Amino acid sequence: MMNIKCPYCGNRSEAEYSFGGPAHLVRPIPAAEVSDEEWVDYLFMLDNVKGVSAERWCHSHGCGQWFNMLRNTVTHEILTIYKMGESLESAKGGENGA
Amino acid sequence: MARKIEHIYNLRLDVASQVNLDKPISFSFDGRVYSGYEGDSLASALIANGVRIVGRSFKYHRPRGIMSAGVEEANAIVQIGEEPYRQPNMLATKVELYDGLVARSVNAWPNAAFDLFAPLGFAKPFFVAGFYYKVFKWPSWQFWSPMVRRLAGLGTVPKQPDPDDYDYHHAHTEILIAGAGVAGLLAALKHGKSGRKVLLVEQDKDLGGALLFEKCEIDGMSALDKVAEMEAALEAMDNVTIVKRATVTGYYDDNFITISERLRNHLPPHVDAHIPRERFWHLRAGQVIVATGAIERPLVFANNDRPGIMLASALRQYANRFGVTAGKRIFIATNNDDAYRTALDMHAVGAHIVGIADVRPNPQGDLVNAVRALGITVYDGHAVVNTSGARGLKSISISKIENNVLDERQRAFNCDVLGTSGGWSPVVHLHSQSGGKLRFNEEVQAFVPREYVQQNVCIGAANGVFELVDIYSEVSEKAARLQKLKTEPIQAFWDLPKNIKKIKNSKRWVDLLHDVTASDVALAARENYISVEHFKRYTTTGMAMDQGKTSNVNALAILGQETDRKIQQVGTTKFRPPYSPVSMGAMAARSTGALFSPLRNLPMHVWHVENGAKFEDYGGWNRPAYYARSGENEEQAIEREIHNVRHHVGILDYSPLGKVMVQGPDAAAFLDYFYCNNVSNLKLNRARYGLMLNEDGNVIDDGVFTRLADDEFMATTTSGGAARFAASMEEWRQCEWPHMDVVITNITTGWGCISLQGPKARDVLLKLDIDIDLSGEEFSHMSMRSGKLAGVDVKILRTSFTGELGFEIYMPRSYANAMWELIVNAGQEFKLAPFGLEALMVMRTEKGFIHIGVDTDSSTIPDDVGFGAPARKKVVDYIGKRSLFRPASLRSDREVLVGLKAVGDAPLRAGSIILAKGHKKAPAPMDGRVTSSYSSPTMGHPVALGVLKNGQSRMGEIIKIYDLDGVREAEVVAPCFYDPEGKRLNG
Repeated sequence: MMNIKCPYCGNRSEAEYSFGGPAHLVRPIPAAEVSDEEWVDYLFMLDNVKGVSAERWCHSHGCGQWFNMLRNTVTHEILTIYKMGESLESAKGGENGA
Repeated sequence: MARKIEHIYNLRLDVASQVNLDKPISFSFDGRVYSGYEGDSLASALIANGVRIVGRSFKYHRPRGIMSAGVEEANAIVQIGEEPYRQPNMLATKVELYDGLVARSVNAWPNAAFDLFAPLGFAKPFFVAGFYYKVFKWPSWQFWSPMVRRLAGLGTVPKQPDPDDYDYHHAHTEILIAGAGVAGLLAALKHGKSGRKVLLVEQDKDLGGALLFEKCEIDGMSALDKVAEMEAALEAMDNVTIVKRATVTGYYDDNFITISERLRNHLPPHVDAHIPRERFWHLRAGQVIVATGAIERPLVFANNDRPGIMLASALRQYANRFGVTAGKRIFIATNNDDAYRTALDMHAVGAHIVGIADVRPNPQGDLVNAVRALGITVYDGHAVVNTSGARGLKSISISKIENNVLDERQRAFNCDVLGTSGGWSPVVHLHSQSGGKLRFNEEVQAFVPREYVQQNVCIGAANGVFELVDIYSEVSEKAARLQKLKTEPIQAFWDLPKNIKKIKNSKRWVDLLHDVTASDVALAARENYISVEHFKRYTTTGMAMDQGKTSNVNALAILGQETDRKIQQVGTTKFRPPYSPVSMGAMAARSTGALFSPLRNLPMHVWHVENGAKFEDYGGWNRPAYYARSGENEEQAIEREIHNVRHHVGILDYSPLGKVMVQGPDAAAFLDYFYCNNVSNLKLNRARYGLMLNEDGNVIDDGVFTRLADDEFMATTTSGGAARFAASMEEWRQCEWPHMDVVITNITTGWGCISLQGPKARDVLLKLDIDIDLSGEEFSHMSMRSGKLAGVDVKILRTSFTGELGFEIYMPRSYANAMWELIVNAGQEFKLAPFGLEALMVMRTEKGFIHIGVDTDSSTIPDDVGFGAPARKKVVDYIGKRSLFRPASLRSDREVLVGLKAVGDAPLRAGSIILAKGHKKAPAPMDGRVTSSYSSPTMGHPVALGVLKNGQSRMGEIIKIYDLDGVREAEVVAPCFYDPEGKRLNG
């Protein structure tokens, strides 16, 4: 069970969190201009990353806040944690590392 | 149970030991009563009583005896206790004896000594590696499975519920030390002195590990005294916690640890029954020190599974700790120095050492020479090749080995015990579970830790450091006065050379618990199961409850020999938790019975109980299904409740209804994303029914949303979906539309809701003090008013899930019960009566109202339930909108909601299949299915809803429905059976 550092609450056990799929997924809009292929890519063609993966997580049994996490899916090592809305690039240079 | 106390043998030694000879106790095994002493393990007591056969092997039912003294035991698997306390699959070596203990062997019938399945041993050719996939192909595995399961059983679980309690424990520590042998004790002292919080966990009842039975002196005192001194020093430290009878079973991410603590297994079932039997720890540790010791490996030779053949170290453990010996004439087979300790110790307690076969050509270590000095013959360059004795070891034979060739000549020796040692395997399980890597150390011929990936370290024998003096210099800050021995290195020896055909074809056991032989390993290699993970599953090596503690390394080495690879090239399988079995009770802990998935009670729960409600679990809520009156059965009660709502008025505790407040300047625009219906154009105090979709376009929930103010809405959801829907809104707000100024609050459990349904609903409310105009002109269907009812601030939503005039009254939960009682009293003259969920379900079906998750599934889109047109017309974006324009959503032959009027009086069965057009019987392609179906007292005929291909264009058609009883017919009709014009709910 991982130990995850919520950017708002600090270190808490994985049991307090929910996994929310890939981070930085861009929702194609407006609907009328989105092709079937684009929409299918968005819905289903997700990268099943083996290795470092950008994910979003929610501290659902804590503060309820969503945040992003860069995590190695093989070793479960957490490389960095950054707030929702922050870009991956800025997080890498930031100080929110776990 | 009792027949007579058996005294065939007495193998109790006249030596000092840790059993209390002043406290004799009696116990039974396979129905016979024996005596033992306080401090005995079940295994030591059985050995003392001369019980040689304690179990039968897994596949062939060969007689098996105790082979170890510890957690690695592969033969002596027993069940302890009687109904309902019985515990299957316990290791006799780890069971502490108590007075009146009842033990039985598990894989034998009627008992281990006389097993009617024994002839299976002759069926060996049918049970080779992969036999599951080879032998039981015809007619099918399902045919054979019940028989095989019965034969290869491992104990019987109790039939009655477990009367014992089990507990969880959540804890943190700075340092966890797994194992309190000498390495663990020294580490605990060192870190204890640093002031850090230390948790020392030991699986045995006593600290000390090997010091409990090794004859050695440390600092001029005996090993036992040294342990007592160290324990006392640790007890004096406030920052050190010692937990005995506890096993570290799992090592997970970020130093998350599970510990299985056995608080009461060493006591008779009724003693201290207020204490939990076991406690399951969830621990987070700053650092983990793995000091789990090592396990001796058996040697592989022909018929190496007979009762009396044991690990060499186990012999001296039984003698020195428990004062018992498994026999009087002992032979020893080894490839290393350690077994000579057994020869010395057993000689010291008076056993006759018949000889020692050592595969090493000319061993010259101090221990070897000490044995020689006693006049004991060491047959160097020899190996044990075969044994005899159908019901226990009688003799062994040895042969000389030169250049990996076995001499054809054999020498036989009579003996009743054979101690074997093939070297020691560090217990690297926890290290491997933590993600750490292993390397094969040629010097000690064992896998040792290589690379750490978490905050942990292995020390002592778990790190491949076996000698006491070396452990001291590895772990301790200060040196100890210890004897330093000259040692002779171990020589790799995994299997007998195969130059003699009879030996090559012999049964040489590798995995005793799962009955895997060296020839099974060779067969798997020939069939190309050479990847270690494939090999494991194909032969089932190491897959039994011991997880291959004594067998894995031998099997890997033999697989390496068979495939011309070194053992490090073969590698190991991943060690997975738990290290040793954890009882289901401990894992479930308090989460059983009513606490397994606790139900939420309604605000008016007590009233419902007092008024005869029959409760059911509806989406996690404990809700009245119906209210039984005397003399009524369920069907009659439901029928009466429906009749009362349709003709008078009914009252329903509707509090579980999901309620979410959405507030803020962007509330309307935000909610527009969540419904396939328009939200922004809703007028103040008006309500609208809406469907919520996911991005796939599928209907996931429904409810009524109401505009309380320009910037404030209340949305209702299904009772089961409330938390999910509120959480989903929050996710979208934070992750996708953070610019929207809106606050989402789930008020489901904060607000109570009372639903009044029926033609007299208005009259009942008018009896109370109310400042809201309830007239149809002022307060129309699908609108909401705020005001005071009986002095309480309420919101009343005029809506209906029954098809009758209906009002839902919302108020803070704390007022709900008082309000309920007021309304019930006021309603007496109008024949008001409570109704339950079952009546509601019938009435909504009569009305054709869908129930999410019953009439819809994960493929339902708005078109399928009659909302296609508004959903497609809605201009602004919403979740799932784009999916409604995919080709699959636009198909004309989708399964859509219809009403089904059964031919005949009996209702259709929900879930039954609608046969494709033109088919008269099953099997046939399907056109849909029945989703909801009830007898309708209102309509006088059964009513049902279903989904049907092209349903809209098939009104009036008679369709065939396949049911378990045959084929039924039904007429396709519009979903709404009752009051299709809606006069009643608009009245």
